[in-house]
Amino acid sequence: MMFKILRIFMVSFLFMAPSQVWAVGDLDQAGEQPAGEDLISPSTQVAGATTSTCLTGKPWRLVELAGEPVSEEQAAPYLLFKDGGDFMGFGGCNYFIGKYRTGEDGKVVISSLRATNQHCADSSPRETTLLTSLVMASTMQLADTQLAFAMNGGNLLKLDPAPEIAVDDLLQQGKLLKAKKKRGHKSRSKKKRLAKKSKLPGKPAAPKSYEKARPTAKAPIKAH
Amino acid sequence: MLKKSLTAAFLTIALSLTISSAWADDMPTAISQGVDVAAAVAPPVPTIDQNAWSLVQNAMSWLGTPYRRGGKSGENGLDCSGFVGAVYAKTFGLVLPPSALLISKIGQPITFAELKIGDLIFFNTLRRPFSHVGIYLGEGRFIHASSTGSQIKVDTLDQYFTKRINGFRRIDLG
Repeated sequence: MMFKILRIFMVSFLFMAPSQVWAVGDLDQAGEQPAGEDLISPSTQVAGATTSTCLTGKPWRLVELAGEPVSEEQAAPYLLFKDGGDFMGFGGCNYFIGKYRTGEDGKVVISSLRATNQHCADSSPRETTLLTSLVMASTMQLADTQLAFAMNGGNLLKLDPAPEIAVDDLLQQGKLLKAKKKRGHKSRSKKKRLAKKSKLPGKPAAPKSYEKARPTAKAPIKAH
Repeated sequence: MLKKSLTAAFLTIALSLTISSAWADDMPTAISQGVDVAAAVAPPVPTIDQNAWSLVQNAMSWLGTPYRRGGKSGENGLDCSGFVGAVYAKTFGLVLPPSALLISKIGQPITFAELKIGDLIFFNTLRRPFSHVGIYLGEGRFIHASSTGSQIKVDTLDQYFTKRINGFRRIDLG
């Protein structure tokens, strides 16, 4: 009896625990947002922005990084934000894609970053600082057409709108990175599909560990 | 016997509830202070913890590097423990053991609520406890050398990873 009570208790906990952890860890889970977090649609609330079009759909050129101005050179880093929470960018050497999420008071979280793997001696350190700043940034503000990422009240990077930048290469590289990402996810589901297919049609499922295997009638052996 | 078991069950539930409530806390930014930081880079904002900034910067410098099983040097790629080892070696001058399981044994167990940037998250992704490791970046994100055919990338603790968490560890920097 005691063990029965304990078992019921533990089973109910097992059902409860994942939902708790889920609410803690998963930012992507709609409707299960953690208490105190009011994360909303990325295109609806950027501090200082009046509409979503202010942020998305056009390239933003990096003009200041870690307090230092970035000169307008040919390989200047830039970012492109899209509706729906995706963004992509060029760091001067590598292309990268990721997701952005904004909330109240300009709160921003950059996640799911993937990048190409080129090494450029001259631009790699700056690119690393750019990516670090994006990851560490806690707020994103749009003021006087300038976009600024900050943490603890200090600016990490500033970007100006740069509609003149051709983003064809960026879009192409972004598609490649996204396709690579999807292939990775597909492999897991593919494994499940293959596992399902491996079960012959009509073959009874393997008995669960707590069930007793029922004896089945043996099929008659065909005479050749 | 029953009393002990029930106490343990209550404690576990209480812990899980604490974890969920702790999510609302501010983004953690600091890891242990007072360590000789190798390749230290001053953060652009003085209030940002220098260790956290250096560690994230060293980790981000590997972004896009392909996963390579057994890769420790980074020449042709890195595996999960090789990546964590490379970041800790460059940031803190620490040499970590060569596997996720061994790293988990030298780290101090912590809870999700205690996680700060730079702490380690362990997963069971190969049907083996502590078979994968990543570095926590705050806000439910971590960076890791994912798997064969993939690369070093930033991921969120989504359903896939949350289900497979084995635990969290903090490496003693002293």
